Amino acid sequence: MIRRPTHLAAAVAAMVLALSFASPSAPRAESLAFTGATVHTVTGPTLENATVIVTDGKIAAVGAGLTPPAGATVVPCAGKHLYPGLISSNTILGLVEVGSVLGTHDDEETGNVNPNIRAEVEINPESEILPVTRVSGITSALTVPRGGAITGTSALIHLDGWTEEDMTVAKPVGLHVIWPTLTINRAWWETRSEEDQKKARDQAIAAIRDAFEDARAYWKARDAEGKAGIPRHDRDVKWDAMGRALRGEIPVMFHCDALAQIHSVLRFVDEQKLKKVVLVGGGDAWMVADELKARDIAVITGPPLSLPDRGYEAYDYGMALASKLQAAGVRFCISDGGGSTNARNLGHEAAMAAAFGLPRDEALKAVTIYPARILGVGDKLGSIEPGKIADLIVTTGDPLEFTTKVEQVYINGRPTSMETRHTRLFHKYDARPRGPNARKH
Amino acid sequence: MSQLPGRVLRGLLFSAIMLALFSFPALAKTPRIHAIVGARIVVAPGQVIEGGTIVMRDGVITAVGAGVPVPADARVWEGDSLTVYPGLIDAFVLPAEAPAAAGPQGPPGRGRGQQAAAQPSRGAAHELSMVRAETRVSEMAPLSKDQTEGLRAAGFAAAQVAPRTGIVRGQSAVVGLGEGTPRDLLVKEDAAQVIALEAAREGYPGSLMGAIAVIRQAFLDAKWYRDALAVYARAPHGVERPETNLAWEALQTVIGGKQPALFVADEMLEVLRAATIAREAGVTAQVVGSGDEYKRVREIAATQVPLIEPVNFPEAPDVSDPDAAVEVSTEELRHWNQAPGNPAVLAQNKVTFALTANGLKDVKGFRAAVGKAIERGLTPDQALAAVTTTPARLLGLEGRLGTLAAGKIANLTVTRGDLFSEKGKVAEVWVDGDRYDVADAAGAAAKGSWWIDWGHGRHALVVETDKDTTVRIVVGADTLKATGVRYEGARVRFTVRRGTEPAEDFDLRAAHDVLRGTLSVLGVGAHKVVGVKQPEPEGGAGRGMGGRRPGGALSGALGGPRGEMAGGEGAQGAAPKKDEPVVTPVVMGNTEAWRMSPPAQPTAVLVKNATLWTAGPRGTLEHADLLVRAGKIAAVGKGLAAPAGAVVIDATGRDVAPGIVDEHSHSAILGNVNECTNSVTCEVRIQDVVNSESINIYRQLAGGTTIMHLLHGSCNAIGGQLAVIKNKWGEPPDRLLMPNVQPTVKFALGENPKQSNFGSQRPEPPRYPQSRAGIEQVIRDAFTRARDYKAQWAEWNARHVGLPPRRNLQFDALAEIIDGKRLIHCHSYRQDEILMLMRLCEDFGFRVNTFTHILEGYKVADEMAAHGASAIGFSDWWGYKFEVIDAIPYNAYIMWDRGVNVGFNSDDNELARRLNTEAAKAIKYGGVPPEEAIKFVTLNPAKSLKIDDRVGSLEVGKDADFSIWNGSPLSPYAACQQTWIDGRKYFDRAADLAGRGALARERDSLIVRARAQKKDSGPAAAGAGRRMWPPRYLEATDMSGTDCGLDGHDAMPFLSETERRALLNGEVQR
Repeated sequence: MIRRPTHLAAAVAAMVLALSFASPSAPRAESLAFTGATVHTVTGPTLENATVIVTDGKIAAVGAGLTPPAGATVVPCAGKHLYPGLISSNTILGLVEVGSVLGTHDDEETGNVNPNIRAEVEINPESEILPVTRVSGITSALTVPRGGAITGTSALIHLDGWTEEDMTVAKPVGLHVIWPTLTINRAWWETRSEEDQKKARDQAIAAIRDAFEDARAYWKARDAEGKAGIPRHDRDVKWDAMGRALRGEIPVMFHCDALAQIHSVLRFVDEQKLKKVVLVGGGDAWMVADELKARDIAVITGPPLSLPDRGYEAYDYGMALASKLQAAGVRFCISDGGGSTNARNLGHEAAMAAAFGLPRDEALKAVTIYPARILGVGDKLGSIEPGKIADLIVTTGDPLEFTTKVEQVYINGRPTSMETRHTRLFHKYDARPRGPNARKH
Repeated sequence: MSQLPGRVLRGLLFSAIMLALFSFPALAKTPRIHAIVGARIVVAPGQVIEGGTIVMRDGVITAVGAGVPVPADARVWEGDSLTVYPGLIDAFVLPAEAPAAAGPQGPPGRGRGQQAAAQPSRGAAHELSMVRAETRVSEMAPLSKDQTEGLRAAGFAAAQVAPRTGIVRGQSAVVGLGEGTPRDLLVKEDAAQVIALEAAREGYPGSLMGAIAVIRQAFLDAKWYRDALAVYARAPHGVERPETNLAWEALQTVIGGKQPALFVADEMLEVLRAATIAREAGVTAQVVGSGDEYKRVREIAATQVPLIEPVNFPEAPDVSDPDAAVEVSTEELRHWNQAPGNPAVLAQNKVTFALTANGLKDVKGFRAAVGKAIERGLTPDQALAAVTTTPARLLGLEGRLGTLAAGKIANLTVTRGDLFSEKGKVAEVWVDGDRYDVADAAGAAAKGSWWIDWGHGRHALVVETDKDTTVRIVVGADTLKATGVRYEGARVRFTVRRGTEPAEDFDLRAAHDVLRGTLSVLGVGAHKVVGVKQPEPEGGAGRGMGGRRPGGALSGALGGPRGEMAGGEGAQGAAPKKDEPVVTPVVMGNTEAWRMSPPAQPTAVLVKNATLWTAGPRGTLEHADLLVRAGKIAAVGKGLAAPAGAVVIDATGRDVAPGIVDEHSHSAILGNVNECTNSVTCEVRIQDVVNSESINIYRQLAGGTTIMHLLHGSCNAIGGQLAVIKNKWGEPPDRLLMPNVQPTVKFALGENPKQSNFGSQRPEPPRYPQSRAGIEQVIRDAFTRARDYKAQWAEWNARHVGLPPRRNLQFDALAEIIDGKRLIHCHSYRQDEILMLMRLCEDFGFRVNTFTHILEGYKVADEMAAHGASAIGFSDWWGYKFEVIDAIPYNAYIMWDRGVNVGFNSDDNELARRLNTEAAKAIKYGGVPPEEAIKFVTLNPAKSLKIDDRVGSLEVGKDADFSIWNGSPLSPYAACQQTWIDGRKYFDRAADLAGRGALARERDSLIVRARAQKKDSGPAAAGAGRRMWPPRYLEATDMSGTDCGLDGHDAMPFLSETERRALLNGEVQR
């Protein structure tokens, strides 16, 4: 007997219809009550047969035996599980549609110093990739520009909404710096000499340093304006854009993996007296775990599903990074290293880290509450707690398992469409008249 | 061969002409009769005459021995402080590269013009400019004076000179390293046909496998040429005249067994490959090795192919900065550590080998390098044989060179001290009975520290020739570096500038520790200069020998990991000369395949009480047992009894799955995975470039993958022939190949073969095809030609009239395809092209076997089911290019539902480690039942390869290929614990974890040692090797379907670490 997916989809669709479903989601219902669910709060205990009440898009109450407010739409969830939506912490969602078609790329601005590039202004809400990602239970994503060394500021977006303004949860989240490689490449295809390579990397670091120092000088002058006769200064969009990171209001997010890079970044952080810093990638971060812990520098890891970067490293190097950081007490979360068309597989990444040593509850936190905290929205997202945004997923079980169905995704307390380009094509061709070799149902 | 009298005659004639044209000759008729008396004479390796005499007359040795009478007409040389060796032979010398050679530069196979660029006509030569067998070194310019002097200074008296360029490069010549005319010096022309295993820098062949196809085809062509010419010679009337082809003509001596083929290998796997090519072609092979043959020495010894080995041992990697040291690979450290032991390992394994100075930055480092090899266990006699008797034999000159015996050519190498000892010095080299004082080599006489005076007091002058030629002069408090330094024999000229003063030009000549000459200043005049040698400082000698400090100094710095060091390290000072390498632990998780011996095969293995995912008709069994006997599955069931001596594995709470079969992999291929030059390249074979050393094999074992189908890339409509391997980590390439598998071939459709995404790499003018319809025509045309080719052979075999058809490796493969004997695995995305290929093949009467990484199969699933093609897809990849915009993860479900044989492949080194979770996605998207989903990565891909009668499920009689998991193999929370192939345990997570400590300690020891050595020998030791790391098999291969190289990244001003690693891991574009 074969479980036909259409049956499941029909069941889900029926439920969704009851909630006046539209795409993107309709104005929020006044109140929602999820009843009878196993509620995985993530930050607190898991509650059996519990109720979650959502009002005006926020979680109002969580507990067993709660009475739904009058007029609330009740979503019966007996036998189902309720999780906070997953958060993907390093993606290019909304910025790139088709890898090989340059016209669909907005992720890489030219030039090395682009602090003024803002991810949120170039997000395509109609990207087919967003619903494909969302239906796997991912409700928000950090979308990161990546052109040059100082690439700009990222935005945390909901994977549903009519416009960027609808979608954006937080902006700017971090100022991103892609640290140049410091390793001399000796492969046969490298045409530059060692000297040229060293020169190139030194120039790249110098360009980053110059930008930080110029921006600081700029802000010093700006802050002094009007005091004791200090005149007005001309404005500069680039240095304006670096102000918040320099003041420590948002972190500088350094993309770096190799030990040499991480050391170089830490020296730079000291030299520039940066207050808030996050490492992205951090392949070798475990080697300096004590120092990261002491400085309270968090790591957004690269994908656990990755090959060792060096031939001599153990085969499970990528899978084991998160568990090493966790054991050492470093704040971390798990990303897929730049999610795009298959950003939907974030749960797979986290589960694989669990297969190689990370406790399962930590694997779940690594894609929910930990990224929320590292991205500065720990008070808004990442767990099922009163006061938080109601990004919730109704599932048949552990959302990191493939065999689990994500039946409905809620963003801002609104049910979102579970239809994607993929389901549309599926239904079309599944309905094609069947040939003589087809299985008998 | 020229006879001596003729040679002398020609020499005299030459002198006469010179005399007429120029002046009275300085060298006229001095008698060439010499006797060295009272010398220590090493007649041959191991045969020494103390106080002996050697007599030479007109270039030939006439007598050797103790108490041999000295002829009355001989010039006598006192030899009491000298040792006389047979003149050394360098069996592989490449002429020094001409400066600024014309033609494209850069690594091979990377030319932008991927199609064969228009070549200037080469007359009746081969159509491929890389096949230039007719080239004869004997007709080329002789070695330069500098190169000849350099070789002589290193002790060589004769050399085999090989052509530099091409694949089938042409014919070498053996020459004496004297100063006569090329006619005088030639000892043997056409000694060997030199064949290099390398891609063309531009045009076809653009890959290693392409180069091998070219070589194989050239030998076949030569044989056809022989036969066709014979037919034509018998009765030319009315017979089509065979083409004239100078290269095929020149190869007749090789295929006739009269001349060896001398292959040039870049790494040890290529030695094996060369032996195979030679065996197939029936020619005699010799191989110029790469210095890492110790790795696969057993297999190399078994080929019985003699080697010519370099001694360009690498310098210690720079590990001074701990951060940078992390990036130095263990494999590089180990090779640095072990390379000097290569000759000894070859000797111990009875490999015939000569040693060459080829590859050294400076040939002067040759003897010191051989000295290092001797410290690692090569005996001095073996070393001597490798530069005398062995090369003489390989060159077919054992009757005339290699030992000191009456009648042989009077080539001698005369030393003070032992040839390979640290203190030994080459004093003179005799070539054809003429004496060359090595001290007279360019610059050598002037080298050193001098006191010079030109009437203004004493100044220090330092002339260095070791690494760079530098001249410094101390004037007052300043040390001035000279410019324009030129050496000519004992003469040295240079210019010194002091501030704005006019240039001061020195022209000095050294003789017997005295320097004389002039200092001229433009507009001022000239001074006489006189100089004397400064006394040698004490203890300055060791530098040229690399300054080894074995034992003491090194282990002083070692600290902890003593246990990992070689035995004897503790006995410091006892045998200070013995240089022991760091010992590498052979444990699971070691990243070098060649170190691993095959795991034992127990007579029986019983896996008890597991959840057995049989992928067979019995589905998934709980609490079941799996019994393996002699590598095959003997029983599947409950409560099986363990046979006596069985290895019993308690698998309670564990899951056991069949070994995963990856139908689409590029993970163990040497060199480029694409022969990207032409639209049809099915003459190339992946089986020729299987990379047994790829760490991917081990990493995939660790994910339960036991079989890879190694695919050519998707650069062309009809790609190369493919190979199925089992991931038997440690075995050499030929033993990885699964025997008796129906042959397969790669086809490709869509954007890649029409080069849509090539960007700046798109060739100009564009290669045909540039449209999907063009692809259809390329394939149809190829099949049509193949049908004609078959017909031609059928006609020939029936009637034997006219010329025989020419065997063509490409058409052989095409004929197999249309006969249904070679199975198509076709890269495919869009439904229109899937349908097109099925209909096209139906037109020719056969079926497409498999559409690989298929993504739009769901749109034509019923048509595929009717046609009978397998569909092995990506589970959920989409959107990375336009033709995959409609890819959906339900693809597999729909095709499965419509009756197609469906599976998932990787096409990716990383994904290949977790295809089990790909199978799980068939449950997520479409709800395929788990016991069917597991087949998507086991039985079904095995079916697509037609090996499902042997592998793919846990059924009695099949190969015992299985993996053990700590959870459902369809869960991402499960980790593979063990992987077995043919009843041998190739992976064990517990053993891998247990081995990590030893490997880490070994690495630490290597780094400590490298650091010590680097400090010891300074930044760049003289005579150290050219960069030879990493070997090609450790370089990432080009994984992409479309990329033929990495152009476009060359000038990248800014490279992120992610990008760097992506490049190293192979740019992935599909």
